[in-house]
Amino acid sequence: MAALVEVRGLQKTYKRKDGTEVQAVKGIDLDIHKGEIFSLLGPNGAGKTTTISMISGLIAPTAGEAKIGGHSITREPMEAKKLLGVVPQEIALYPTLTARQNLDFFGRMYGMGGRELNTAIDEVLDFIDLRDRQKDRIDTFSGGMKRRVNIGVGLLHKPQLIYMDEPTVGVDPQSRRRILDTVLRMRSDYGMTVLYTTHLMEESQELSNRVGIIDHGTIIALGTQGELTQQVGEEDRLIFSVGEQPVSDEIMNRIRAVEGVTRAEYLQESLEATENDAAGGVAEKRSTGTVVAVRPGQTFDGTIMVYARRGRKALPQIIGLVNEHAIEIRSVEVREPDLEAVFLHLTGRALRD
Amino acid sequence: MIRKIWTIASKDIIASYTDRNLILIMLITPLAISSIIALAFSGIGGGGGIEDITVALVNLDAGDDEGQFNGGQIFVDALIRPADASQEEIDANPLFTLTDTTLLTDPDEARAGVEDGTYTAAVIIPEDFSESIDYSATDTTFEPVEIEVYGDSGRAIRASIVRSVIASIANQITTGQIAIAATVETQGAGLFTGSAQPDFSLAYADGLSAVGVEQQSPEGDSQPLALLVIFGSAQAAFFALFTANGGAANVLEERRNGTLQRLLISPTPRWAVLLAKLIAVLAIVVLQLVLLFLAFNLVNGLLEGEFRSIWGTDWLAIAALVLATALAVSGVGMIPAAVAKTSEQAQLMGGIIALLMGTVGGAFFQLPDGAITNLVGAISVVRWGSEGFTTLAEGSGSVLPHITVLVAIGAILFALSLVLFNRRQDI
Repeated sequence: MAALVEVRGLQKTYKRKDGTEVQAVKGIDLDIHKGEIFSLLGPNGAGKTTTISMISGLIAPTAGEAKIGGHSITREPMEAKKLLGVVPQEIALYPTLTARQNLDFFGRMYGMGGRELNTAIDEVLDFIDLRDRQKDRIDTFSGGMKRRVNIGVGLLHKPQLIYMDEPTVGVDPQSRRRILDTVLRMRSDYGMTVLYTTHLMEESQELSNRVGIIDHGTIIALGTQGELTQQVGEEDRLIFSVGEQPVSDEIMNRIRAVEGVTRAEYLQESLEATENDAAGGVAEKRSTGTVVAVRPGQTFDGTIMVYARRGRKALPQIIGLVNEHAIEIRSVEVREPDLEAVFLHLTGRALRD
Repeated sequence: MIRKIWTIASKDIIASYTDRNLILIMLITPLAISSIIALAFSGIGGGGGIEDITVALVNLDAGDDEGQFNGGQIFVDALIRPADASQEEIDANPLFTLTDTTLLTDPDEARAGVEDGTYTAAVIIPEDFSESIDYSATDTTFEPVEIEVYGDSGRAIRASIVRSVIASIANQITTGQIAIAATVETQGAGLFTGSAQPDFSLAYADGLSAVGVEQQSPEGDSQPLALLVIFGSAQAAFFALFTANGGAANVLEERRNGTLQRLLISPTPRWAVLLAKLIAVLAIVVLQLVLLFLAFNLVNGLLEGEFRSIWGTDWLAIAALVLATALAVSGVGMIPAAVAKTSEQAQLMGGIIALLMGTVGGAFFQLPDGAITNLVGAISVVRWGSEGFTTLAEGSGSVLPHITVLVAIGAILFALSLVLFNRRQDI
């Protein structure tokens, strides 16, 4: 497949006030293919925004090059930028202008005008479902509606590549769903290539054809979701929540003996403790892997974590074992290998850390 | 590219003139301040302006050693209406109508008259006045000498006018080499002291006798110099500084809101975005000055009972001076925004600069002439603008020097702002 975006050896180094240098992006190589949704996944501060800012020409790279549609963003910026639409993370609109006026203004910045611009605005207003509010000022809109206009501005000139910088940060679930559907429609309705940055694994999994995982300014994994999860093997994770009931070593050993199980751990998560609490017992938060202190006598939430090949097949047997010991299972969750596990596997940290 | 620049600039212009708060600062406030000052001097509804300011004049001057020169007598001749003066003679000297001066011999009586409200001000010429300023083959030095102006702070503006008149006569006599220490004291609390007093001598700079109050219009009609000319133009330039500064700070505001980044990501060169922003500032200021000057004319017409252009009818010079003033204040207003990190910081810096330029430029009161004030005033765009418009109104000379200086200041600072903005890594 032809590459719409080609990034080679892209670097960005900033100078701190004390004269020392910090390398925010450390030589990235990347191709984004025409018509795909590509997610750049990484924790906050990993270098996503800096990378994208260089690709979109907002900041100059210290070294390396990025091309959009074959046009270098540093040597042919005007040609490259014509092919790019941007949806920034924050609402970047003029609050005292109406939705239509905002679209009109930014459309003109892309050289549009006259009937072509009016038609494009109408089309975008329909696409973001805000035609009936087009004459209202942006500062009268809800947060979700502003997000939709923010996206609409990026779409207006029908760019070949649209870059969306964590567009669901701070939005309610309903608006988030709407935004994700919009992203999928950009590809299906307009055939756009989407470059999507996020720190949310679920979004990346749902939307993307391919994913680049970035950490500390370096792409540490690149490929389809299937290709990436293969890196952590084919083990499923079976998560049994058992509350405050004690789980003996005997039960754990019997679970480890079940066919297909490669590893099993009993984890306790404090319901009250924080990471700053004084010493006591030790628990591990299952969602993040962070070890926290638990004070003696404090309540906790126990979890049995089992890693197993073909986990669904082992599930009935493990449930039977736990029940035999009169332990009530409050919930069971089966997780197939995901990008969260890939990141954990590659960095030893959770994405949300 | 021109279309894009126009799109950005027109958006900013429309946004400014649809923002109620900005309109309040840009137009309503300077108009209100200038109109209040004009009303204070016009004798609301009377149409005749200020006249018959009661003055007690005490001439203690003993004359020079040779008995040939008595400087104090010049004040007497200029201010005391001769008993047998004809109406024509009275009309010929505007000071006879501006003041109602009584000649006294006792300084204490004169001061007491001010304190009991009989007089607005007492002017006391010292005994050694002539001797101190006498210049002859044997005496080639001037000795410092003070004329005391003892004013009623309850009528501070009128007292200040007296002080200005006396200063003007003294300057005429000694070609500016006498310092006048004006002691305008309050009855209880000191309101005005020293150089902080309003000095309206500009309004009486040239003309008849020692001090004139009238100008001749091109048609030959005698027209009083409108106070809106002096304070209006200074106030307009002063508030335009705030407008320009606020407009330039808008670039930083847009950076914070993300709209600037959105513009820079579009296929529009960085220099074009910044140039459009700066052009918008200039256009907003030009429009502000034009609207203010139209409003000043309207207010003046209402006060005088007839409508005329208070800046004269040399429309080309007026237009050139408006443009030059706008360019200069825009340049000054943009510099803080070009170097500040945040919009708030830019507006704070801009406010300080505007106050400094406004103060030395006569937006609040006229500072007395002096080496320091003249030096500081020379860098004040408010002063250059204000003096330019006053010159136009008086019809007393060419405004080409004012336009030249303003354009030079504006062009340099405008270009510097563009360079500074363009070099910033954070934009």
